[in-house]
Amino acid sequence: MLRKELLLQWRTRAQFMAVFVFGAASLLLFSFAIGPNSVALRTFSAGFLWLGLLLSSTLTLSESFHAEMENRALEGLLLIPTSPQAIYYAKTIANWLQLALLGIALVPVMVVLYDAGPQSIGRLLLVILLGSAGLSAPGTLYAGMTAQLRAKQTLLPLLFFPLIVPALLASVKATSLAVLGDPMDQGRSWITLLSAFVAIYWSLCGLLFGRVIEE
Amino acid sequence: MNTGVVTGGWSYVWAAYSLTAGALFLYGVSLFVRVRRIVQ
Amino acid sequence: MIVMRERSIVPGIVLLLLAAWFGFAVALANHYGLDVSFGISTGLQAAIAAIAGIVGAVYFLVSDNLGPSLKAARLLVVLGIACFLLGSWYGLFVAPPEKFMGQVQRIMYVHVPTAWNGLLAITFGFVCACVFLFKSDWKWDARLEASIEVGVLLSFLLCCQGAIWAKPTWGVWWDWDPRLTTTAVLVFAFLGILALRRFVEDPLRRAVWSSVATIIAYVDVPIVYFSVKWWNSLHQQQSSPQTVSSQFYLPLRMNAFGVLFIMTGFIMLRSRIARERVEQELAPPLPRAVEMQEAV
Repeated sequence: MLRKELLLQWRTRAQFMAVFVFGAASLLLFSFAIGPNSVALRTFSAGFLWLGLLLSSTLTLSESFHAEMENRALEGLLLIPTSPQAIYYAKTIANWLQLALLGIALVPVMVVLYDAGPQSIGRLLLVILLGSAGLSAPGTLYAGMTAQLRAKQTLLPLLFFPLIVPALLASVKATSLAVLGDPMDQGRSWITLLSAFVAIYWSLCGLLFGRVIEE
Repeated sequence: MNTGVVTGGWSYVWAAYSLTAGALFLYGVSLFVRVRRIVQ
Repeated sequence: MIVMRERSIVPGIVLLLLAAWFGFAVALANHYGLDVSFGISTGLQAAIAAIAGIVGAVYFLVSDNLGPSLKAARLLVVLGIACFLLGSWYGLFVAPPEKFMGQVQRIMYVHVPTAWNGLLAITFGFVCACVFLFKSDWKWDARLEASIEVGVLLSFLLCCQGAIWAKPTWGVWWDWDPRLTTTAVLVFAFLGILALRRFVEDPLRRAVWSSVATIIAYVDVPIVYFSVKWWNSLHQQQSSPQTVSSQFYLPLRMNAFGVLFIMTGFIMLRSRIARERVEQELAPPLPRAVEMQEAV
């Protein structure tokens, strides 16, 4: 299952490039909201990075069920002997990898535009991995739900954005501490919160996904 | 003047109460109208 | 048309009257020099009032398929309005202004009851979602829709009251207080679920999906609360009834029961409307014939 998902993503890597350009463009646009104030830009860089990633994630997520919807392949997937959990986790892991890659790819853009060279690269990578895992678990579930609807473009962010507020908050805080320096080691508690969010939603959404796609 | 005591503020109190009562009243009326339509 | 099962509304009424009696009637009588507490301590009275109130409300909420349920809902709304008017009159004109907060304190008499009951409505919606996923019974779907809608209404009012409270107290309409922020996130999360229900035409899918979304969103509420709390540690201490004298908690409790009764009545009425819609959508083929027979 996972191999199929990854293959699918590899085939649509042109789309990944498009999403990356979208994310980079939004980072550029955010800086116009602040103006050429390098101190402020550096302070808010973490927030902008995650907002850019979040906006791009709605594109990736809604695309992730697109192939299934096009020729009703989801019904076909349900027929082969695998559990809905396997389908869900394959899709979530694929989305996670894609979002994490996107996040890592956006970091240099952030560094160049906002002059925000990270103090601790390892911590930043960890936060991006965890944060994108937090986005992908509920995101994949809601994408699976809304992909079958007419109004999917509006409904997915409407359901998805309020839900990931804690993950977004924790990621932004932890990233900003990784960028600006963390003398009190506060980043650790935000990473704990983020891990708890990831653990809760990876298990809960896996449990509930079977009910969402059953006919 | 800065004693830490909030003086005045009746207008805020009235705003809060009338907003709550008004919203609940309007919602209640719409419910009763819709239920009546069903029952008949 | 569903044949209504006859179940008495008497136990529910008795529970709610018991709750109201120990909730505020004893304190009100005490204010005029009468002792009707039967020697029960105030702490125990408050516990009885809270438990009897919640159990009584839930009794009504899960018996919205009774014959006289619409009558019961109307009765509850009328009772609630009476309590709310009495409590508001007490809170606005009888209770003295608070020492530090002055007149603004009176917002709390409507703010705190809205908060308790909004949370109660959303929690009931969460219970409905869980029961629906296990039992696939349409009654619970209708109750889910009703309680989420009423809960969103109350939470929205809660946000507005919070902003009105914050302006004279802290000088700004919005400060990033964890409870206020959590309520705002909660309003958006559950508004999304109501929107989802609008867009799904197939009733079975609509019911299952909104149950799943309700469970996910409800689990999120405490996480949002703690994250915002860590994020911004400036906020007010929560006041408990023990530290407040009877003149302050009397209007608070009257309004709490008033809003509780109104909320219960509203959810019953709203779930009746939701039920009607599902019945019409399912009407010709009747896919759940067994259930209909059970109801007869």
